[in-house]
Amino acid sequence: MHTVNHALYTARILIVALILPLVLAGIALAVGFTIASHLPGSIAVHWDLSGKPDGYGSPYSLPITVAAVCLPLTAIFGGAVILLSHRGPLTLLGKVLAVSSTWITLLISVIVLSALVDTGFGSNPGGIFALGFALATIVAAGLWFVLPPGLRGVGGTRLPSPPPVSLTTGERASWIRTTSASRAFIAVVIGASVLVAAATTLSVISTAGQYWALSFIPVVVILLLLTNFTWTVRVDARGVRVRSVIGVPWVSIPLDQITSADVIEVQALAQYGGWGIRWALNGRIGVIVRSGEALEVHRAKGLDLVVTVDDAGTAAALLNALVTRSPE
Amino acid sequence: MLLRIDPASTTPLFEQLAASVRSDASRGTLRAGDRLPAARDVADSLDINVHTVLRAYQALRDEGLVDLRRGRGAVVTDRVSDYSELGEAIPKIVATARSLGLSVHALTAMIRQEYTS
Repeated sequence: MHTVNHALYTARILIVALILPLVLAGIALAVGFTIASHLPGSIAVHWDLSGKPDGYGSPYSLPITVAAVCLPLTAIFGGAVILLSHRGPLTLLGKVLAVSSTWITLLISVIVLSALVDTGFGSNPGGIFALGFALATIVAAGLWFVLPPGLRGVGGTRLPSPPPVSLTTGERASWIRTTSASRAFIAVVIGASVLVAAATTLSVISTAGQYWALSFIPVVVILLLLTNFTWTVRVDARGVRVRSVIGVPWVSIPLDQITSADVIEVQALAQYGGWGIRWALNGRIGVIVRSGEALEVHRAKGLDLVVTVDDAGTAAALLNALVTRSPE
Repeated sequence: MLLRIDPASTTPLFEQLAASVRSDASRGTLRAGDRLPAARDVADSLDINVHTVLRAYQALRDEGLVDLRRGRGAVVTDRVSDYSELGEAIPKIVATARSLGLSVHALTAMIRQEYTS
């Protein structure tokens, strides 16, 4: 019985992460080559931003692009997922990787194959992209449920936490601490953002400033990223408040909604899919600036909150004392 | 950092706040270069006047535990490592006093006498 279940478990991961995307790429190749064989030796294979063709080549180059991009990608992602699955149930990141190969393959196949059709990509690039995006996303979402259940409910491992602080009746107490990502981490993200900004600027210049509005994108992205690096965490009689260093965004939970607090140890990438303010798809909101020690706040109704912060033990001890002391 | 005040106590609020920060310094949870929370945040959180918090921070600046800098707020100095000795001594003294059955007032009186001698 155990062997049969294990075989089914492995089969589901193998199909989603490796077999399906390879089969889809194969179909796209076959269909592409068939259509190409009926086309003249030179067709439009590249379009500018307004939909006018600006590059010509062999029709076979299009399906070959599908193969050249999707096959190595599927091999890498699929291989990584299979290696991860040997360690145990897939984490959130593992499941995302597993459906990514199919998502990319479908998107690229729709775009590339439409380019082979007479009234295809060139006539409506925006619409074709939207169609490919929608199809890829719907299929990927469906595949999520074909995958075996992931590491459910694990948002971290519990650590021993100190006993509640002993507060006298009239005493007021507050715990305030700033938490932020390491300087190295911030430097890497800023570096990547600068590259994106440079690339966008070059694109704007190369189109003679026509699409200058695009340059707002890196500015907005960089600003959003910067808000995710440093947060102030506050525990007091009002409850818990986690606020970004520039004021927004913030998460605030009133004391009467809190049932208890714990100290846990989290892995940013594997359990929360990354850094910043996260919705963990496992019943938690995360404010994650690094892996390691975190405060976990349990709510009577609604999502629990997890904040990576030093000295979380004292914060939990105070919060538990405040919850016990407050009249329910 | 953990800050505790008791409005019913006879000790002035700013003195209690400063004592809270010194406690954190002596326990080792504060390190040189750490920034104390913004005075507005503390005042809002403990429901006290922001000037009370500022007075506490100024007292800590006067004894050299923090530097007050425009724009950066109160920054903990190297002196914090000197406070860890107190952090080790105080629990021992309190434990000894307790085992002798001394109240906190009795112990405080003995400490006060040591200051004036």
